[in-house]
Amino acid sequence: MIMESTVMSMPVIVNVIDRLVSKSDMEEVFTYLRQTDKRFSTYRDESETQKINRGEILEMDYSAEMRRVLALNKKTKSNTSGYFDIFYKGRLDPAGIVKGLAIYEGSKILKDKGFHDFYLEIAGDIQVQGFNEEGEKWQIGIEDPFSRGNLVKVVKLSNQGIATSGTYIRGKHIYNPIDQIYADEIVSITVIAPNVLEADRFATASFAMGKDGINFLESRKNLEGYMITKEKKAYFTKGFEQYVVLEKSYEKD
Amino acid sequence: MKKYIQITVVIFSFLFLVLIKRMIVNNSPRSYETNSQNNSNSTLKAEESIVSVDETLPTNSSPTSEAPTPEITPLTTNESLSNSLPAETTSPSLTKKANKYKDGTFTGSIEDAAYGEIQVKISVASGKISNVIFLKYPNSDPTSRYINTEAIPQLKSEAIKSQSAQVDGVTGASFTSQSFRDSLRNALVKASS
Repeated sequence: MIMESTVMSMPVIVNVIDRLVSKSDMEEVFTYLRQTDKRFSTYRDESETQKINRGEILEMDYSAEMRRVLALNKKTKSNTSGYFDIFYKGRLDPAGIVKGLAIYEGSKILKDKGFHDFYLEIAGDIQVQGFNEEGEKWQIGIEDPFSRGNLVKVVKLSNQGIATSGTYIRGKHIYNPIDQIYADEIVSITVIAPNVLEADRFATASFAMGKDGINFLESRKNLEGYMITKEKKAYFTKGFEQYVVLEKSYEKD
Repeated sequence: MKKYIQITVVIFSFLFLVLIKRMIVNNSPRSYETNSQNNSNSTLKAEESIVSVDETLPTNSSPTSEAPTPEITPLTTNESLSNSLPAETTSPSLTKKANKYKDGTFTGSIEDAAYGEIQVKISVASGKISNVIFLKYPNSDPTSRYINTEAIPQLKSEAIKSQSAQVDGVTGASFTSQSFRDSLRNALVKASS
């Protein structure tokens, strides 16, 4: 069963293959995602995030969910030598953690209900479990940042997360380019990790590192990456290739 | 240095509109095909497709100077720039109100983003946004970049090639930067006043 909706202005797709799944099972995931948005959104005055930003809540009164996000932030910041931080100039914007966490927790809801084969995506960040409808690993395309709607790569994943971080300021749309300046700019970086929370937070951090991002991913166990530069060149980690679906195997006759 | 900061980047407005549209109308199985003749094969094979769009971008507020401006929220990283979690905002609907603007060019406010600032300039022709130019963009300031240009990875590389395939899903960066939208909204207010 596939259910799609928009939460936090972002498209959400839940696809559960298990036959016993019901509509209410699916809706539970969306309910959770909406609650998460209400708690963490920086655009809702009544959210805990905004209350913290206004200094209305003492740290001792933070919710368990907020404490978890802050702990994950601390961990990621330390993992990435400070390239990641959900605090910017003293203000809290937890989006960098919350998106991946929400997909992760939404997947956990489905897992705890006993479902094995499903796909959960929020705006391009994905967790896949088990197998797709054909009983194969889930085939995930990496979008071509220079040509949306097309792909540059297809990977096969199961029980893993994948996330992409990037800008869509494309080379051919640069108004007054000075190539020397932009030559080393990266356009997007995709991370494959054991789960989407890891994929998302490390996609965020490695993108912030610029071209060093791919080296960072190579240095981390359990993370694989595919980085695209403005010159339409891709750099990828050594372990990335094991997931790549060769083009000819899905080409049509 | 100043020259670098002033580097302007153009992104066609239709891309933005397409993205907004994609965020709003996301109710059909997706197919990523280069060749249009292959479009009959849908990517997600739905046993059942339930679409319940409860939360979409707002369409009611017009871009007038009375429009409430949401608090500007600094972003923490470039990722937040593209993948922040905006909830319903009171921003003007870019898709529906785009034909109400005065012709000309309008510069938006400078908005604080991670590692720098964002500022856009829009061009309006025949009442529609014809161009969005980035006057400021975080990575355009060399001092704000954390890039070690010497560290070209000793990793495998390849020229990317756009291809078509049937897939179960697609990973990609979303372009929903609040800084971008704040600056754009400001430019639109000027275009409509």
